[in-house]
Amino acid sequence: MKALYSLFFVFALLLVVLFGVGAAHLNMLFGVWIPYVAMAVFLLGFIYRVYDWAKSPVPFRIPTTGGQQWSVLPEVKQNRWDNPTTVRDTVIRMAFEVLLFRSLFRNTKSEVYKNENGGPVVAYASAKWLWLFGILFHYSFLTIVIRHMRLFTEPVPGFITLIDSLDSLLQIAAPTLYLTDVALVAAATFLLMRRILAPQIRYLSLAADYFPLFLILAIAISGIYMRYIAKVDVIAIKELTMGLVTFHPHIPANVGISFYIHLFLVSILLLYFPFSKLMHLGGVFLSPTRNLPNDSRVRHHENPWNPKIKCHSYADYEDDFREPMIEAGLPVDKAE
Amino acid sequence: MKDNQAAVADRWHTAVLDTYPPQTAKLWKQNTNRFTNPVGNSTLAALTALVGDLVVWDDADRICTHLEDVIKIRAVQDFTPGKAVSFVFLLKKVIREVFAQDISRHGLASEVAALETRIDNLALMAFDIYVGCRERIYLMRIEEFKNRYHMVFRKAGITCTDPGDILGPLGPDGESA
Amino acid sequence: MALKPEELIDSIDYHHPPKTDWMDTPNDFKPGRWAYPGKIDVIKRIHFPNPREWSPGDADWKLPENWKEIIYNGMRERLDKYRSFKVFMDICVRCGACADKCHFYIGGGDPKNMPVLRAELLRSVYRNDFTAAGKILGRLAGARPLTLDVIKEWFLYFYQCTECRRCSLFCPYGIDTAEVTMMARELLHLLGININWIMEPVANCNRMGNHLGIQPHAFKDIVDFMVDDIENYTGVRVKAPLNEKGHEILFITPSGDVFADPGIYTFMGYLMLFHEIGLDYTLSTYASEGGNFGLFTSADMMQKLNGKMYHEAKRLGAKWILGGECGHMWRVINQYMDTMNGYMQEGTNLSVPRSPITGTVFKNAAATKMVHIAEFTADLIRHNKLKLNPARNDHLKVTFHDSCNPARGMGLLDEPRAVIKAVCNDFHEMPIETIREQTFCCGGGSGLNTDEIMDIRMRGGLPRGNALKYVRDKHGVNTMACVCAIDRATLIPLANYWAPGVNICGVHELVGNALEMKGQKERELNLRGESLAELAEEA
Repeated sequence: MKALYSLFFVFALLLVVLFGVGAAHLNMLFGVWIPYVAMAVFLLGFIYRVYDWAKSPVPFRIPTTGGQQWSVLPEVKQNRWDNPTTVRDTVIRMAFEVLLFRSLFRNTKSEVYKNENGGPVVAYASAKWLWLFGILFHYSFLTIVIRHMRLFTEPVPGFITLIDSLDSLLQIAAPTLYLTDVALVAAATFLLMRRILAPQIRYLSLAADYFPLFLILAIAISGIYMRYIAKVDVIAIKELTMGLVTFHPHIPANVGISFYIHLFLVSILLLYFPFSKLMHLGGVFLSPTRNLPNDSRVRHHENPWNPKIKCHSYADYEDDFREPMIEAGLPVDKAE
Repeated sequence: MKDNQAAVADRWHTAVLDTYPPQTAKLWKQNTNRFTNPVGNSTLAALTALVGDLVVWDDADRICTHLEDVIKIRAVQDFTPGKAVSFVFLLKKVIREVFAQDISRHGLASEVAALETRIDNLALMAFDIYVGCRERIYLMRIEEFKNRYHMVFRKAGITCTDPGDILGPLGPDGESA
Repeated sequence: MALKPEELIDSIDYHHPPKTDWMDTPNDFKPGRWAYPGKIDVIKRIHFPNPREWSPGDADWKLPENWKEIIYNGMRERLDKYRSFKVFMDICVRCGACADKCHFYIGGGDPKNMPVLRAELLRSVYRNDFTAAGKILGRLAGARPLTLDVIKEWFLYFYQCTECRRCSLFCPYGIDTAEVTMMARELLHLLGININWIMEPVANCNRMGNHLGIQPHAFKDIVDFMVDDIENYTGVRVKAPLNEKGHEILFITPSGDVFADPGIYTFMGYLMLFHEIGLDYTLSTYASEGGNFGLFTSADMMQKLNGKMYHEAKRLGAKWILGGECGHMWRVINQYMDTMNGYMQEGTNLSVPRSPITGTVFKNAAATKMVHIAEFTADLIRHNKLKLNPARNDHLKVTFHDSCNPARGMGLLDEPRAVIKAVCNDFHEMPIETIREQTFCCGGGSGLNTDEIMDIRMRGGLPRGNALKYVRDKHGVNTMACVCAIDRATLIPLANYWAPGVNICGVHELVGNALEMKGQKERELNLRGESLAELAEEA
């Protein structure tokens, strides 16, 4: 049900463009103003959210330790990347986390067990897929974003051209098929299907979990449609996009409706981003269980709001129990 | 029945897991790692063994061990006593489903009746084991209390060294600590 | 007429939960699903809000009239104080990687025990009151208004989390349910919702020095019992200095080691070890509790109870503090102590700990000045400072249970193993998915080790029990060692139920039994007073 709501909403967005551009000819609105507003909301919203998190202090260093601590015993070997004590090792831990999804990978120790009939069974298959498709999804997305930068730069920097040519390495179909297009759609579909089909994941999913997946799928499909089926006029599109980045917005004549659909959906994604779970892009860097060294026992860390609460003092304790303490032969501070 | 033990056990396992919330049942059926999914795998192993026991029907102790593997788990989950041991009766349903055609074609009503009598016996054993598990839980609570205050009791001179004196022997194999 | 079995099957509702969303599924408050609430006088003693007579089984929980406002302000305050709380409320993508990592979920199957859903119980309210999306879209964005039923649900499920952090290890963003549970429990405390099993030890520890509230003279008598026992078993009279000034080291261990069976045998192990190496140390009756149930209550209470350690070290003039085998005590020491109470070191004799026997400087404790006994003993063993006879433990086949907090809140993994391997000849690890940083909880951490929720504990303990049963059957393991006082209590019923025949002991009990002491008599009995000859014969 929640999935259906989200799907309907994405369709509604499509209709908005079809009416807005196709029927009402609001090209300026959909080609210029909405993208500008979306970009502004995205940037300001993102910065605000990160600022808002950063504003709250980190009173304690609470890393989740994933291995042996630093020990003064030479034969006890520290697991430096899972239980770092230095900034360098913490950075490495974060890099593993952000670039390779290390914690998610922990799930994936795929071990072969025998089932009751003696046949081999791979444990944790689903979790392994989650890591694989998760990483495929994110890297495809990143590559696609970088590739698109060729529409916003003139001359196009070399590395963008390079990524572009690597991505179309297979040289199949015309225009050549991008690997990441396929990967993104496949990965997003997997993540969506997992949510819909695995009962325990469906149980904990919210509409807000389906919506971004549907939206990203719609963006990918509209992009693919533009490139391979509608075969839109890329020169005209680049004219428009360059107009946007140089703040000389202008709508060329040969831009088809499919582009407006694509652009509008991207704008919606940007608008939605700062208010949603997609902010995990920023949040992952701020997670105190990962981005801090396990070193509170080694060096002092300051809690900015430390309340310095006084403990029940020894003097008060002794006042309570002085007599029996003396009787029992325990030393006391004030023998009266 | 002999040839179809795995199928029966599998169906029975599914039926038993269906007594849990659906999202949990699926997960427990899928994950075949016996350490990260003890409920699903212990249950499957024990039910498979029980199906075999039912055919052979010779060793009550062994049957009890296998029954206990399942009941032990269900005895501490949120089941009423009836629901905790009801899984035994599910086997009747499973057998009728799996062998529906054979039963009607070969007129196996008397065999089915015999088998169902064994299952009824199984249910009675299950009830005994369930009660045993619950008794052990309560004894463990008392033991824990005594352990916690061990030295305090000793200080007060009211230590009771052998709980058997007061409480009688502990459960089947729950030795006193 | 009784039903026929088939009819019975049809008549039984096989416990399918109502096919509703989790937000709509009603909660069951039958006894056994919750721990007893705090007693009035206990709550008054520590000045916590809303002391009253109430029961979670009642319909009316007698909350203050403005309870909604209290929760709202409490959340606001904590969001501003803890980045962890704010970030963890925002960034979960509900990928489900944590779902099957919680021992309570693995053993019980209640979906609300999936870590992600446990956090959603709180997150849904956060979205409703603190986020734009939640305010506008409501339930579509996963928001729900705060109602009395939500509060009750929090109580049920945040007291079914042992703050073990296993889910956090597998979360791609490191979201730590322990942190969420701590916040939720703090919020519940504001309304006077608490459990006696945590509050009474807190109150006792604060005033009397230890969880059971044993007074100093009785404490001394109890320690003397153990000194007598050691003399009976070994022929050596050890000293157990109490509250004495001018010693180099202050030793603090959880009081369970002094009062509870089998912790006392571990305590005897400490005393024998310290005697044998001639350690210049003292115990304290004022700071006679290493454990800190404040951690399960509130940050303020944790600080208040922990402060006694430095306060006493200062009074006694100790140069550093040695800490006994305990789980959450070491989370507090490793991740909180110096940060919150480091300022109390001013004017003390405390300096970077240096083992007086081996000369090893514990640089990894440079800030807190507190060393774990497993590190200390492993260092002694490495320098051959102990004469050990592991053969006295030969009737034991030992495995080691990593306690959650030393494992995932510190990383103390190989030190206790080094000690065990030096004092036992027959050691077997449990399966890799169940030890070290992936260790499973005993089911009674974070103040849930009370007996009225034994069923919950047993199902939470199933994953650990199952792994234990495996090594029992495969290698004949008959002893599980651990470095945690709560474990030493909770693992007994756990083993009793899931893997009968396995005994529980502390690591230093094994050390005490293996330790050769100068001037000892023929060692015929172990520290439990059992005949070694008989045990060897049985094995």
